[in-house]
Order: sequence, then structure tokens, then C-alpha cells
Amino acid sequence: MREMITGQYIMGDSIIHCLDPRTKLIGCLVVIVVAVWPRQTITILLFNLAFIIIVIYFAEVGVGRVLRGLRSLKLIFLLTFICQVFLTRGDPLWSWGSIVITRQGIDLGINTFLRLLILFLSASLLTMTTSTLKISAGLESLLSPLKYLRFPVQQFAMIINIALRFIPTITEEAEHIVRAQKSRGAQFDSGSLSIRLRTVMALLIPLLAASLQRATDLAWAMESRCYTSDGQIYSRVYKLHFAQRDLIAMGVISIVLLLAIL
Amino acid sequence: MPVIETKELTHIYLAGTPYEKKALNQVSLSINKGELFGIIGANGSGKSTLIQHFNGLLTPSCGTVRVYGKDTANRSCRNELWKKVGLMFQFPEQQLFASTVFDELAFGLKNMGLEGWEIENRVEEALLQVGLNPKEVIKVPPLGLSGGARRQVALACILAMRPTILVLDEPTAGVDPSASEHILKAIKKMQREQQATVVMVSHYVNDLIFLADKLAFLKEGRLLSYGDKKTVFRDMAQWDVNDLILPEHLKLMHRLAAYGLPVNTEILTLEEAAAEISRVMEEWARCER
Repeated sequence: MREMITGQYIMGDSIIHCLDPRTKLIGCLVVIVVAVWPRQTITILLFNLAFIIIVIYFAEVGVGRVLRGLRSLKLIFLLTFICQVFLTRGDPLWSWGSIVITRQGIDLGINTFLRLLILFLSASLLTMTTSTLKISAGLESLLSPLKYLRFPVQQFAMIINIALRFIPTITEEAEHIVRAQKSRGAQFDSGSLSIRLRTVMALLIPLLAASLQRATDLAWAMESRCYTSDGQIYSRVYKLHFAQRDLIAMGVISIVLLLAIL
Repeated sequence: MPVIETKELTHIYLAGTPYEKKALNQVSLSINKGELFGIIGANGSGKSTLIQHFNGLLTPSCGTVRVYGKDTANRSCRNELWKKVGLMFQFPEQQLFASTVFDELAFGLKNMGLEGWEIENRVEEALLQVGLNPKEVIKVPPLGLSGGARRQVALACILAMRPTILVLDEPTAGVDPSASEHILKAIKKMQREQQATVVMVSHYVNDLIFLADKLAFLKEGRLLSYGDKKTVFRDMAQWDVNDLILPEHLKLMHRLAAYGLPVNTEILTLEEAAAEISRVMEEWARCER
């Protein structure tokens, strides 16, 4: 691979890496819920953001690297900000013809920007510090009460696990095919729409074929190791262990939540 | 005159991250016009990374690569390289996508700006070159062909573009012997008749022993030996080459040398190996007398 994908798991032994995946999942959920809560003030969002940045610092994954991942999202940030600023009605601050910028618009723009930032950072922090196996184990354990409602918790966790596991593989494969087609003169950045369409097909078809093939192979491999989906209980290599540090972390998260609510 | 020249080429993947990996370490070599240049190395030795520098898909982290005298660090020169340097990746049949073999071959030709009869001519010629019957396969979807035939189609895709340098990554890995023979024949023919320069990567040393004019031996990103075939095989005796598929007689000679026998390891063929062993044994007998 030429570049790291944002949110790719980075091995490490920081405090955040060592936490139980359930703690991190709950923490992530709390931060996200606080961020998307309706009519949230900018102060609380900033407080939330500061909390995440402190956690990134403790995770030892490099604040710079995480922030660099934001570059690929700059267009989304910019577009949502612009839409909010120009399309919100309220007290006009500045106007030019039919274009009006309102105070509420700017408020909402900053608000949405911060929310998106928090969503992105908290989710990527989770996947950067937790291996896919642990995430799925944590999910399975957290969702296990749903078993009584006949929800297929284990299969759900397995699907998430496989999906996360194959993101880097498929990215790598896509890069490989792009390079192969480039050596046959494929122009992925051509100006003409028809050429571009043809080129994209040259990437998508082999990628889809390879993914289907890989899925079939994986299914066979799982079946030959006696994996079935009829609700059997499987043992795990990683035993989840809720330690004292998790209690402390939960305490910190609760305080953050309380502060946000009050 | 060298058509490809690398100077202290170093390539680092994911530089500055915890997954940083030095795939190539100060590789300097030159490949002359019309040569069939073989690159030997185990998995992960940096072969594939090296050849992707030859058509500008990768650029060096350090050092320079010159193709036809032009530095590939120059973007405009790099973007035109695919027309001159045809690169066939490992398992190229996995990159086929068109609905017919004809469209598959025409993809590259259309990208070159060719039209009409010129495309038809080249498609037919390239298919013949790789040992396929154009009438039989031209309207068939490539995915409906056998694995070996698909590989032949993939090679034809590159040959149809008539590159002056042909770069092949493990062209015969995982195909049946008959397809493999067709592929090697087409490569050799291309080199002889069109004076093309061919760079071929393989860990099947057997393929390269007779085909290649010169060899390079890579291990863990370093160029350990390069030049004349015999010299390279002699040098290889000094290193652990268990991860390569060497012919039995070369393995034997390397083992004998490792035991301390004064055999000359600068050999290629089975006959040469036999002659060398009997020479050493005769000398021994003479000494004992």
C-alpha cells in the first residue's frame, strides 16, 4: 500500500490500546450521542473535541497523522459549512442581492462542522486503537442481551468483523488494478466523461470479480472449519477482560457526559 | 547504450508510519537495448517494486531512474512512459474486464489513440503472437477462457501496444506448461524480431537460465549480484537461496562448494555441471596417486 488509510489499526501498547473494547465502544457512543444531540451549544462541542484530542494524545497514534486524515474530507466539511451558512434564515449580518448570511447560519455552520469533526475523529480513534477482532468481540458482548429477542448477535459481529478486516485488502487490490490499467494507458483523471466511465469500468469489474471470488473462498474456508450460523457458541482467542483501568475510563466518560448534559 | 538505468534507487513504503518498509535499498543497475534481463529473487525481495519504477508507476524515495535517458521523476515524461514500456503485472488475468477478447485488447490501443483497421490488425497479430487463434477467441468473453489462455490474452494486450521495452512480472507463475511455453516463445520472439528490450522477473530460475542474457539477484531489497549469468549463479552460492526454485544441478554444485570442494560454480547447464564434477574427481584421483 502506498499510504495508510485513515482509521487503519495501528499496533501499540498505549493506555487507550489496552482498554477493553467495550469501554472504547461505549465511550465512542457517548461522545457521538453528545455531539449529535439536538440544539447542542458550540461550547459543549468544543469541550467534546478537546476531550477527543486529549485521548488521541494518550493513544500515541500521532495527532498529526489523525489530522492529516481530515484532508480527504475537506470538501464535505466545506460544502456542509457553506450550505448551512447560506441556507439558514435569521438575523441578517450581511447581504448581497438575494444572498443573505445570517448569524444563525454561521452558528449552525460552525456547529455542524464541529459535529462532523467529532464523529470522524471518535470513530477513527476507535478503529486506530482497536483491532477488528477486538471490536467485533466487544460488539458481540455489548449486543448479547439482544439474543433474547432472537437477534443474531454473533453473525452480526462476524459480518462487521469480516467487513472491517477486508477494507485494507480491497483497497490494496484496487490500487493494484489501478496501476495495472494505468500501464495500459487508462486515464483515471481524464476530462472526458465517456473515457472516464470506460476507465472506471476497467477498475470496478475486476475488483468486483475478485471480491466475489474472495467471498466464496472465505465461505468455503469457514465452512471447512465447521463454521455454521445456527447459533452455536464459539470460543474466542481473545477473552475480554474488564479491568480497573476500564472502570477509571468509564468514570472519566461519565464525567464528560455529565458535564455535557449540565 | 542503456535504455534503463537506476542509480542508488531506494524505495520506502509508508514512510513515516509504524508500517514503514524499505522495499529497495540502493539498487544501481543498467539494462541495455535488446537485452533479455532476468531478475531473480524470493517473495518480498523487491522485484515487483523495482520493475514498477521502470514505467513510472512508482517513483524513487531516493536515487534516480532513467528510462531512455529521461528521469522518471519528471511527471510529464513519466505519464508518457506506458506507451514505450509495456508492463505486465503478476496474475494479469485478474485485471481483465471487457466483454470480449477483442475489446480487452482494444482498450490499450484506444487509449493510445488508434482507430479502426489499425486496431483490428494489431489485435489479430498480437493474438497470433501469443499462440491463440484469433478466429476462435476474438468474440469470446475473456472470463470464459481457461486460466492459461487468459494469461495469454493478458500478454497479447501488452504486445498489441508494441512497446519497445517489455517488463514482465512472473509471466509463467501458476499456468499450465503449454500456456507457459507459448508465453515464453512469444517473449523471445518479440526480443529477437523487434529488437525489444525485455525485463523478466521470476523465482523459477529454470525459465531464465537459457532465456536471459543477463541476470540480477535481489534479496531483501538489495542487489546482491548482477551481470553475466554465470557470475550471478556463482555469487548466489554465497547466499541462502532456499526460497528460490533453483535447478537441481545448480543446487548440487552450490552444496558441493559449501562442503569445501574446489568446484567452479560458474556453470549453467547440466552437462557443464557433470564435466566440472568429473574434472574435480580426476584431479583428486591424481593427487591421491
